[in-house]
Amino acid sequence: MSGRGRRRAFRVPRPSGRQAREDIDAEIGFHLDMRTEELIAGGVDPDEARTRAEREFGDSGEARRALVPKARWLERRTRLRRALDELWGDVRYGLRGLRATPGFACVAIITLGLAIGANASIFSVANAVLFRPLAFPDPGRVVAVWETQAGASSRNIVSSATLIDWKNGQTSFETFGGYSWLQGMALAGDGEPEEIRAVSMSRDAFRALGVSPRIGRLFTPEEAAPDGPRAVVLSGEFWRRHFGADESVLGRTLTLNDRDYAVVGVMGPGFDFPNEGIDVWPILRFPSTSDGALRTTHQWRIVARLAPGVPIVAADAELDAISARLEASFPEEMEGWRANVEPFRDSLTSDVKPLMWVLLGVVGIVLLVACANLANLLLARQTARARELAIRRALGAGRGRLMRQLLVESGLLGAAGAGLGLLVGLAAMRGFVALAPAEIPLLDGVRVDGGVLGFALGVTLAATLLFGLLPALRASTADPARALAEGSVRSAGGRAQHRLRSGILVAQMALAVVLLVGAGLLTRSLLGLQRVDYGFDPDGLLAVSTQLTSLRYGDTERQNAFYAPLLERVSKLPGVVSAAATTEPPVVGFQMTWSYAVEGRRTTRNDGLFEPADLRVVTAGFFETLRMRLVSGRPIEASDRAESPRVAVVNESFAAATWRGEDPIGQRISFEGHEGPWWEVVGVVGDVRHRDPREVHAAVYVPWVQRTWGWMNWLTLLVRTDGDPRGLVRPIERAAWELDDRVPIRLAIPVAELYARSRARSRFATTLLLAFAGLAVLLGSIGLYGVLAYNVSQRRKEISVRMALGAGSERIARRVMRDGLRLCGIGLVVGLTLALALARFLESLLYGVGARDPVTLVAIPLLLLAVGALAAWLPARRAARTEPASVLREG
Amino acid sequence: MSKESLELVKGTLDVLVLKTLSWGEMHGYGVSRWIRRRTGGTLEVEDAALYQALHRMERRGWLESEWGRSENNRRAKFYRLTERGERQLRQQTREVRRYVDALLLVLDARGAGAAS
Repeated sequence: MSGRGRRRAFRVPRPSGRQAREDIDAEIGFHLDMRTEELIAGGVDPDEARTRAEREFGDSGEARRALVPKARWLERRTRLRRALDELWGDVRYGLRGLRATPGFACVAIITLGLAIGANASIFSVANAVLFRPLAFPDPGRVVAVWETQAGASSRNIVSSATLIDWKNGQTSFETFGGYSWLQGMALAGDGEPEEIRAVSMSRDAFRALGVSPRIGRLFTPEEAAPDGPRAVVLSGEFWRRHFGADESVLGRTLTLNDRDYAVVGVMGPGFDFPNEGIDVWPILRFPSTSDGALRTTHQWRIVARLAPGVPIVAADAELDAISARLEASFPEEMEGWRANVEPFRDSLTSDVKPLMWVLLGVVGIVLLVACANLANLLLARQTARARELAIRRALGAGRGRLMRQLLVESGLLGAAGAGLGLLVGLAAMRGFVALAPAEIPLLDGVRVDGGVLGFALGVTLAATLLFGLLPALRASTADPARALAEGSVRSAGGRAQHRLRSGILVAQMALAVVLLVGAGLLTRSLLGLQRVDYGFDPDGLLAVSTQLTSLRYGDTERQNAFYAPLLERVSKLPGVVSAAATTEPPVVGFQMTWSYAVEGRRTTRNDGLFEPADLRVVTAGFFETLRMRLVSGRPIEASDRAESPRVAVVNESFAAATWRGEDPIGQRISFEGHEGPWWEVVGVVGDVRHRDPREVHAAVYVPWVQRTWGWMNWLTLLVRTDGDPRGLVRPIERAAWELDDRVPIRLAIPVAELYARSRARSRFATTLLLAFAGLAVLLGSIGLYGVLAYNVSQRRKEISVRMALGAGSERIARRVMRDGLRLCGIGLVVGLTLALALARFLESLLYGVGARDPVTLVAIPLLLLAVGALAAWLPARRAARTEPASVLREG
Repeated sequence: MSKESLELVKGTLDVLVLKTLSWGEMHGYGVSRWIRRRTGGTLEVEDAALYQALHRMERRGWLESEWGRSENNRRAKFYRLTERGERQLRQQTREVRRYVDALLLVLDARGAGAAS
């Protein structure tokens, strides 16, 4: 019963199979020997005794055969149990260690929790936006197809003619469908007219996605035929909102833009196409052949399903070949146009990809900084425990054993950090989704799933190894004799240890600098965005958009009959300073770009036309209402009537691109071709940053009353008021509905707010990066403080000797400060170099500042040095207050 | 030892071994010797069966074992009761008693109805 530990020491571990067999043999052999001896002692003849013992035993061979495999199993179980016991011992030991230093444990766990939380939350967003497959069957085969032209966008929408030629000529795709961009459609019903969000889909577009409806059906071939019946599929959300999820909706009629559509199906709640918030998908139909279809009007988006086994490049090459043939037949219309096939997800997320990658990179850096901090903390802690570790080694604990123990301790920190990190991450994830600009696609799918948990686990493991391995390795290699000797004079750190910790600190500072520079650049560009001169005055301006239906407002005359009196009534509303209207409002507008001819001049293009410019159709008083700058000539005035000579006003970019310094006034341009009709340029206005503050487009303004395009049936009123623009929304709506109570108001919003929305992405990125950079700097300065404070406490004796020899306390403090600032400085240089190399990844998010913005590159070092000085000042003060007498007496 | 030996009733070996070990840690030979001496050789325990019982009960967690040194300083495997083994011993003892009592009730009966 006694001496358990002593007995255990006899045991020599051997491979488990042989061990078991030997044990059984030994046990049975012992039994037989003992029994034989007993019998001999009882007077039995020695030969006889052995035989009798064996007979008594029974079939020993059989017993062996029965016992060995079971013993083997038992053996394995025992080993496992012992290993678990040891692990559990390590865990208890680690817990005890952490409990003994709660300050250290708290700092470590919080540091790790914040870093892991940041990573988990950003990854959960990035996972939904970038990685998780779209919710279509076999989503890898769903592709978007665009037209592309050298030098122009690689994602141009496709003309009807090209779409049909591609569709009929290709063999790479299983199905090839088209859909429209988001349209507002007037939904007629009781009460106020409503505009709902519609995306027209061809029958094949649904088939390319491979989806099926929740109830009812999708479009039939009859409905897809050019003159077939009109049908519409509803979104689950719209169905619930408008029909209370009533299944009898199938077969009912929906009046959209004054036309009747039969409701044929309702999609399930998870179906968002092409993105969230679409109410209905009316049928989209194409002519069956490309004859007569327009080749120069690009208007369709394409979603297609690749045939099984066809790679994207092959499909792309095939469509390119078709386009090349078309170019040969239609050199004017098809010049340079080719195809671009890409995974459908990319077409949704290409805009936000850089932002997501930047954020992932940033949280990765935060994690590295946190790991560096922890490694430094652990190293310091270990130095403090060097004596304990040395004694354990001297008493026979192996290197592996010590290493495992330290890794278990790191693992405990890691586990606690991960737990905290998941909580932080969950909260932060919700915060990010709430904060994220609405334009980021697929955010509905942000959630914690296996991928996110796996990522968090991976991050934790990697972090634990990163911050735990280095100290563990050092501890296990340390020479116990030396550590004990050094420990006795309390300088266990040693020079190498000091260098290692300084190195880690420099790396940490450098990473913090990288984040700071990024945050600085983004902040500068956000400030720039808020101050940007848009070329007009957006404050106090209300935008109200409407679109008339082509059925009841098919020509300019009928459109005028609605809009002219509306504008007149609105300008007389109380609080209105002036009112005008345009086809292209700022930010949200639908952009029309037309190529144009200039009288007496041909370009090198096949058709001799100039590259497309924005065409903005505006009412008289437009420039005055927006407070745009008139450069020369005159604005569009009320005297420009439908029957008077056609006039146009161009902006500076247009004038510069077309006439290069010549006086544009009196020149004539045409949107049709070299035979006119001609529009005479009467004025030049300043550029307006319409859409993206980074871009200025060449633009032509023509009087709304002189337009000849009957399909141009929409207009946005821009109303300047001296009060709150929002107060005008209801009166304007009422004025519109008095004229026609079936015209929905698409949008009514102050223009300044539109711009604020367009800055949302910048603000989002800046806020996050600032937060993360702040976190990194905080961690970095805690690290700096820790290293310096530790150095001071290790060198108390040396400091005391110096002081005793006459060094002033000021000089001591200066020395400590200098040490700290030197580390800071090295980190700064490394970090700035790194930041300059990495800043180009930020370029797509920057506005108005270069990646090498001098202000940022000066401000950040100053800020960091200030923080570093503060972190160094505290230990320096402590060093200066050393009392040599008492310290020297201690030693 | 000249008396006739009895074969063990099936299922009672375990309880004998448990009971033996309840006196303290013992190696397999010790268990065998103790049972033999205690019963004066009346019960015939085959040693092969005894070892299988020891190993089986160890696997079930009723016993635990450890290698150690015997009285004459030889390497031997020692068995000891675990808590579960003690519970098992109490339960099996009760069962064997009830079984034997019931058996005796029948065997000692003095004719039908006489007892009442």
